[in-house]
Amino acid sequence: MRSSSAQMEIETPTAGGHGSGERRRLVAVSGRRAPLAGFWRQGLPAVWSSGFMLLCVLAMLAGMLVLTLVRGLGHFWPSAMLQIETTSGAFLGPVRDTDVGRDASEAASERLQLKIGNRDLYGLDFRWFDSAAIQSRSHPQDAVTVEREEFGNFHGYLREVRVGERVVAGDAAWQALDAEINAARELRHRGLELDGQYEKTRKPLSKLEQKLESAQRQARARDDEASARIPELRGAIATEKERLAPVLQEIAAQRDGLVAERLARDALFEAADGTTKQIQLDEIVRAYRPNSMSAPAKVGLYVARLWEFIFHEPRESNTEGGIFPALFGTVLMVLLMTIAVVPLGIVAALYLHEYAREGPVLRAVRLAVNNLAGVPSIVFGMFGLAFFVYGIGGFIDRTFYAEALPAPTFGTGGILWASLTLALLTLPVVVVATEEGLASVPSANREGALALGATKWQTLWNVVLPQAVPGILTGVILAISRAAGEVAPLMLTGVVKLAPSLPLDGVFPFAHLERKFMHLGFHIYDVSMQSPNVEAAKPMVYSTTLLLLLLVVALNTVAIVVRNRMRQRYRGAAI
Amino acid sequence: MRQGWQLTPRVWDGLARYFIVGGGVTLILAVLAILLFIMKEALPLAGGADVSPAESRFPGIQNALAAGIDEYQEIGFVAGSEEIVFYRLSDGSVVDRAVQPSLSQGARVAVATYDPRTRLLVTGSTDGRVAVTRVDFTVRWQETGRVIVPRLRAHAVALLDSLQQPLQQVVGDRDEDGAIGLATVTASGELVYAYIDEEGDVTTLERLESTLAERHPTRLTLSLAAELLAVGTDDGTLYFWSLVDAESPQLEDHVNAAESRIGALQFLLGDQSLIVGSDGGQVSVWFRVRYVRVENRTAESVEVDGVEIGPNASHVFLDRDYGRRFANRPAIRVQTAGRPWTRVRSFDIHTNAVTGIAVSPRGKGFASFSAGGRLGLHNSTSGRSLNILETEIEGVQSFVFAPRADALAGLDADGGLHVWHVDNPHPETGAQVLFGKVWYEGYSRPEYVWQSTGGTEEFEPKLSLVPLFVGTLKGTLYAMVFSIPLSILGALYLSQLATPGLRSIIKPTVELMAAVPSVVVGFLAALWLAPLLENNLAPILGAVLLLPVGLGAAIGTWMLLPITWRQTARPGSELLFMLPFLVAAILVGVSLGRPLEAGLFGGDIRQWLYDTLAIRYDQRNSIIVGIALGFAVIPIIFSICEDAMSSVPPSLTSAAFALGASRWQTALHVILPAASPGIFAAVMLGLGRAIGETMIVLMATGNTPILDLSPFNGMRTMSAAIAVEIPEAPHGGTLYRVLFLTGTLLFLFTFLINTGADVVSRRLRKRYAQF
Repeated sequence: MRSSSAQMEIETPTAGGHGSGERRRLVAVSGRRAPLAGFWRQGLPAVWSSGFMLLCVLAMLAGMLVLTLVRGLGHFWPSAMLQIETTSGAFLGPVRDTDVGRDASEAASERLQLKIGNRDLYGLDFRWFDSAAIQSRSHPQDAVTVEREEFGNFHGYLREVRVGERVVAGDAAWQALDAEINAARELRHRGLELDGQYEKTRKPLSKLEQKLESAQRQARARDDEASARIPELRGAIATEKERLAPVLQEIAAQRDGLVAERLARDALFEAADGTTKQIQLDEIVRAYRPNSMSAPAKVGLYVARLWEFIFHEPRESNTEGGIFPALFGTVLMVLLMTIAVVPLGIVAALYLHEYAREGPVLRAVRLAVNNLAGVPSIVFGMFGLAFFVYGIGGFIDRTFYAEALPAPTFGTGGILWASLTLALLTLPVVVVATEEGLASVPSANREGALALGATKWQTLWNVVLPQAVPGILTGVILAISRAAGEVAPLMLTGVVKLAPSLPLDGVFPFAHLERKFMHLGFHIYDVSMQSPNVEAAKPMVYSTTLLLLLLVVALNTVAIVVRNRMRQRYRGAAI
Repeated sequence: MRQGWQLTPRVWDGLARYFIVGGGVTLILAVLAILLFIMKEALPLAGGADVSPAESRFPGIQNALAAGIDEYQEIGFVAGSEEIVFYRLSDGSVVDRAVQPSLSQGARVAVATYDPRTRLLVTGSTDGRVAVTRVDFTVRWQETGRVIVPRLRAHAVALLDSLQQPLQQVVGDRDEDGAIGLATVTASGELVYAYIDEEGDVTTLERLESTLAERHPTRLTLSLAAELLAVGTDDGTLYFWSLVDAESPQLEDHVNAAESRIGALQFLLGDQSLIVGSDGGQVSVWFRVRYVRVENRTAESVEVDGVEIGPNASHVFLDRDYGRRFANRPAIRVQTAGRPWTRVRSFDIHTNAVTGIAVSPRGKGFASFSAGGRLGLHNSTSGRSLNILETEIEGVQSFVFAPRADALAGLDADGGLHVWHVDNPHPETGAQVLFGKVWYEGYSRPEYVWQSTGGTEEFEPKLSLVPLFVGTLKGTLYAMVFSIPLSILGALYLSQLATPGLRSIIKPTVELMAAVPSVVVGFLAALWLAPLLENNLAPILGAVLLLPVGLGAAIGTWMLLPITWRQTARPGSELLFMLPFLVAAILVGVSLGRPLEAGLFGGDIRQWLYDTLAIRYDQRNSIIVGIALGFAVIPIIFSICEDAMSSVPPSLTSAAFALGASRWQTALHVILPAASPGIFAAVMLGLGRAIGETMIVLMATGNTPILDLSPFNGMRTMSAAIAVEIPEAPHGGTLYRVLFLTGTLLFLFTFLINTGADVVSRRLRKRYAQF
């Protein structure tokens, strides 16, 4: 019976009432005796076209991965410096790109793009040159790339290194440069330490000043008690100032000495066109000669730059340096989100799968949860903004931080609100995966436990949940991966391009969950769309993209593996 | 052991049950509350405006002429013929009195106007003098709280009527440097304009009435900084003098604005629109509309919107963006022909003479008052009368808004001061504004425009959601056109035509594709693909066009192979076989691209598009968005389709094969129909994702809200508008709420699509469940 109905369906594939027409067509096709009958019957063009479509999909994915890998990893490699002489002067820098463009006479000609660096001299980092206009090309062995704290790279030649009165020139200068850079940066570091020490010593005074300020603010709001405190505070500040003055002066003097010593170290560089440039050594992150570097040295530099990328602070409005704050913000935000979403998701899934009774209500609820998975993330962001930030945050501010108003504390975007928003967003993922995990536990196990006299909760806690762990884990991993890549809701709930301080630090209460934070995905958006010098920022964005992609792909791979294992076990149990 | 210990597991079980059921239900309710909460934020948009009379009417003074109130609605003043009296609005007590400044002996004030925006009180006296005084309310903080102290500051006095007769009408304004422009109507009905320079000297004194013919000026009004003078007359004609050159007024335009005498006249905030109220009860809004002269300098005639323009002829049109439309044809010249004042809309709520118009100092709102006591609150942009109130006052002689637009003050005939509280949180919206065409200031016809913020306070927000809908649909459309064939056919191939080994690799790979963050896709689309396509349009086009040829060549070659080879080939080996052909096709296409571009399109395909078809090629366009959004949607459609196709019972396919059907026949006639519920659901879910996707459209489109379906330009979608504009929108403001309305609609769209997918696929699945 079954097979006959299937046969009917083959002949009437549209399952409607026009079976006879279709049948005629099939008969006609198989009845034709033309030489290409097999060609049409087998639908070769259609089969190949659909194969072609699959190839296109794969090519897109592969292309994207290869592009990000090459661009993202290539950025750290010290590329060879090319010096060119053109009619408009000499330029030095690594070749970034070549293409075929049109020159002045509309004829196609090859062009190449150099990263000429020296933004402070030329104004722009990248420049296209027509091949025809290039008179000579060379790879000078002594060309130096100087990575600086400001103005991007400097490309040129080292002429001399100056330490106070001592001036080293020529080859000796290059020998001395690295050591002197380290010395200068060490001085800078010690200066910062002294600054910290100064602040620390001055702390009692600063506290008094803060008290005075708040008393003055309260006095403005007609608080008599506060006005009475003001003279007393003023007196305390004066005594404290007197007490601390000698210590502070000594620290300040030390610091000034360090500054003088630091500023005495600089280096004279000469750009390709002969312009000279004095650069403070402590402004230099590192300097190297890519054209005369050995392969191991290049690898070493590569690793150093990769390290800097992951573990250092950004420079030059996020277009150089590292992305540590963004990485840290992403991880912390995702962790907070996980803490929020896991219990919620498990409780909801337990309810749906173990406690709720089948019926229209459960169907509606399931539909709602599935639907929630399809709600655009920006809508979650709006909810987060309206409910968490303005609603709950505003309430907290009015209740606990009233003296700071109108400046908001919790009533503005922050990492806590962003994580809670993303927890809502990823809730369906966790619920669905946990339910799948619960469903994969064979009912025999459940019934066995119940038959032994266990209560429902004991069964759940001791039998079902442990076996459902892989499902829950899959859900959590998928949720994390989704959250790590989501940007739109964060833009409304607390992400910023540059956060002055991390949400975790050594200042009480250590976790500052009301703070705004940086995020890898937003970093990509912001630097690529809103930085003033997109061309110079692109390599950083590619590297960040690669990092984010690796993170997400790794998480997903783990989730897929865990899920497959679980399904296999489920299959085994079902038999 | 106590008995309690034995009960523990059961107690524990009960607790867990309550906790989980309670928690689950609350959670699910909370999740559903998201929609309601977002709606709630948008809801105040639907609320109207409220006008309510303040409790008391304040005792008037004799011969009251003008009135105003301060920013905090604490103090109001009435300017009479001899003095200015300040009242405390809470109890009607007199706070201060001042003699009308700058009056000469024996003279009184005959006419006065007060403008709350500039806080200037301009008075005309019985001896033909005009005085300009500023009414300041300084705020001081004292122990008892806020104290508002009124102060008067005289700016200038000038004799405008040499006959020293009482003045009938007077207006004036002072620019930043202190120069003052004045206009007045004298006792004999002469219209006189005067300009007082920064030093206080009257440098220009000119009679303007010669052009008025027999008409008598009834109302005057000046734009801010006195750059434009509008005069209404007794037969309803409006005259406009340009005072841009303050020393020589130029008559700019005149137009018949009403059937009857013009009784009230005010410029709206921004000075582009003029509100005219007539004795017949009409209130109308006027502004300048641009007409252009399209001049045809080509040798053949040109048709422009149904009008034939012969060679070297020209024709005047209402401007419909002709300048941009003919920008690619320099031989067709488009020049401004004129900008006549035009009636844009009217508010027909009054039956009696309109005696007062008050212009809101915030936004494009105004209020009108007619004899008989009817008060109307209007908004020019939306064209709505937000509230109509019947009062017991016969008419007002002075009618102004409070500086924060939250109150209205009017003087009745007996000199009594009336104050009405105005609660009008979202005046500039309405169904017509959000979903219909609106005629905005500076536009030549009603249009759908989204431009929510501008540089100045005077900017007219344009909040039509239609461009955002169109943008969303456009992006979704291109994404679906790109992704549906790729994903459905790809899934069909993978599930039915390829070997299972291939499937176990490719399926998880495509699922990984779903995990790629959209910001990554957006970045690559915007900064890698968009410039690549822009600079290499012809080579890429060539490659795309040659790919089918390459595929055809692959099939042809395959057919030529000996049949024994073909039969031994495993399914899926087509992919490897076609690969070299495709690569070759791409290479040939790319290398042919440039020469073809040079030969067919004059060397630059983008220039050619612009010159011949007037299509502007934007770098970030719909093609880019289609591909990028397609990238995000493909894995969703692909994965669900593949699942649906793989779960078609093998009995069906086996039966088909047994009957001699080929792989393709089975796939087309058995698998596709049987998997159609899954495919439908997949497409719907993909659609839902494409509609709501934010980062990709935010980065890969130019974000220009335009109404144009061309694949070569961008769009602004609802989600992108929310992401870009909500951080800048003040909490609780109109834009904030309009964006929440957008979010609600977005939510509803996706909700409907997802639910629709669920219901339809369930139904279809039932039908096919018999196998």
